[in-house]
Amino acid sequence: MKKINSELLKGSTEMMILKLLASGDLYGYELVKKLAAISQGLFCMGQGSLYPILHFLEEEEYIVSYWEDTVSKRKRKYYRLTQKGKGLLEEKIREWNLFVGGVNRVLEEN
Amino acid sequence: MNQEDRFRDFLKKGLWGYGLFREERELYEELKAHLMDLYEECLEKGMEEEEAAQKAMADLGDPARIRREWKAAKKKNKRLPNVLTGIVLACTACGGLAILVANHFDDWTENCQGQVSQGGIFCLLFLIGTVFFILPICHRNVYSMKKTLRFFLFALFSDALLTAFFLNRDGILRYDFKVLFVFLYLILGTHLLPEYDRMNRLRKRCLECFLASSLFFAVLNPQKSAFVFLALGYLFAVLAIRKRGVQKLIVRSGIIFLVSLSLPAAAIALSGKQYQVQRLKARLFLWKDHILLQNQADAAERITEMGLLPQKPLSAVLTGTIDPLYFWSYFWGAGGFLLSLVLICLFWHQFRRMDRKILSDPDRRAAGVFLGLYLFRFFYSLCMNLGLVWPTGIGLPFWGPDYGFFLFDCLALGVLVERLRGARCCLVDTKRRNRVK
Repeated sequence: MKKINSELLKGSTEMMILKLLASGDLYGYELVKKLAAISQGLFCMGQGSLYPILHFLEEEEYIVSYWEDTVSKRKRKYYRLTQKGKGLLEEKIREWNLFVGGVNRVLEEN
Repeated sequence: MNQEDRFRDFLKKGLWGYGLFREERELYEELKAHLMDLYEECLEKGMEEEEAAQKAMADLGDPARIRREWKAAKKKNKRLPNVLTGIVLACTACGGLAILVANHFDDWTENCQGQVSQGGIFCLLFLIGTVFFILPICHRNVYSMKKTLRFFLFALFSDALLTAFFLNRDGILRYDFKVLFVFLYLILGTHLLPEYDRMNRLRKRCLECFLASSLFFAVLNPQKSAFVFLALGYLFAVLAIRKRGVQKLIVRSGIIFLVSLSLPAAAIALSGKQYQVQRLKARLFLWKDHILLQNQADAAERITEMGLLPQKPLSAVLTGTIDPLYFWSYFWGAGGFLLSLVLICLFWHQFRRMDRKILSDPDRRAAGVFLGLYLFRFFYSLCMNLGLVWPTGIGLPFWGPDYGFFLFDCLALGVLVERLRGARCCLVDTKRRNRVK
């Protein structure tokens, strides 16, 4: 499947990350895989680029993280949405719907 | 070379893994784990090892670019706190200078009579108060309201305590070396330590210089030199919690200490009028003064009063040859020891629980350092009151007339509680996840 222009992705990545975390705690690799699976491969971002965004969201207290040992003795850092993050997600979804509605209206004109 | 080593080298090409600080090291660990996951996924798809490794590294992306993006994300909205950090450092430097001048170049005989010019101290108080009150207001632009409120309350608390710290019973401002420690740890513990990661090299050196100079001032006074060890103990504990390279910091601070303080040290040694300096000269046979020797004896007596039990024998109180009010002093002092002991026991109990269930190795080490310090202070204070050791101003944990130590204790507990809360959160999460699985 053709990948989407990264410029279009920029504004919505944070929202999608928050949305995925709203369904449960995830670690970075899981997040990338889930994003790719749900979008059917449309949003295959540079995988390392996810972490700066996660760390920024954590610093702003929209998400929190914790380390957990796995069966393979590999430590994983899980992320969880905070109450503040839920508020931001709602706000972003509202904004997004307004934006998409506006763009669609322009595109559908004649 | 196994794949983990290979991935480590790959990340280090982007300067990952060299980070001294927790945040950088954590991100490095995350990226390494991510690479291993990608690699294993490729192997499961039937790729060769070499091909799988190449694919994993390609999918992750250029480590140098990730680092740049990460740093850019960190800098978002951080300009204001960095400016404030600069203001704090500048004010600290002014305050330090005021104390330096007042303590070492004013006449010590006037000092003893409380007649020293207090402009510098007022100035220091004003600066401290201003900075602590301005910070939370400005932080509103950056942090959440909850965080701002917390910071504001802390500022209110610390400023009130600092002001109280300067006042003696007659309401006259006095000053003390210990305020440097108080201020240093307030900054380290509440603001600058989290900010340290984001400071540029110049600001980092300024902070380290301040740290080194405060220790220098304390060492000048032999009776207060014990504070240095306690202060260092707390510093190591905080550093252990933050997982910083302690050895590197010590070596660097030592070098800065030698370079930056050689001139003020020479000036104090040549022109300083404080009695510690004169005593040092007397020790070196450069100065012989009977008034100075008398003053030393007076100072020793005054310091002994800082011990909790009065220096009059209890038998004299009981036989009524001394004012019965002294009895209350004994009662008060014994109560202090008892309360302090109870709190240490509670701390010990909590420490054991943490040891078994929750805390990681650095946290356990830090808790051990705190516990060791509390026990040291308890027994030192006990021995001091029994006349077995030289009297100093070291107070009981969670008790005593020394606000500086009270603040250290609050800070120590605050740091531990914060860590404990985080660790508990992880523990609960782990249990919850295990249940779900």
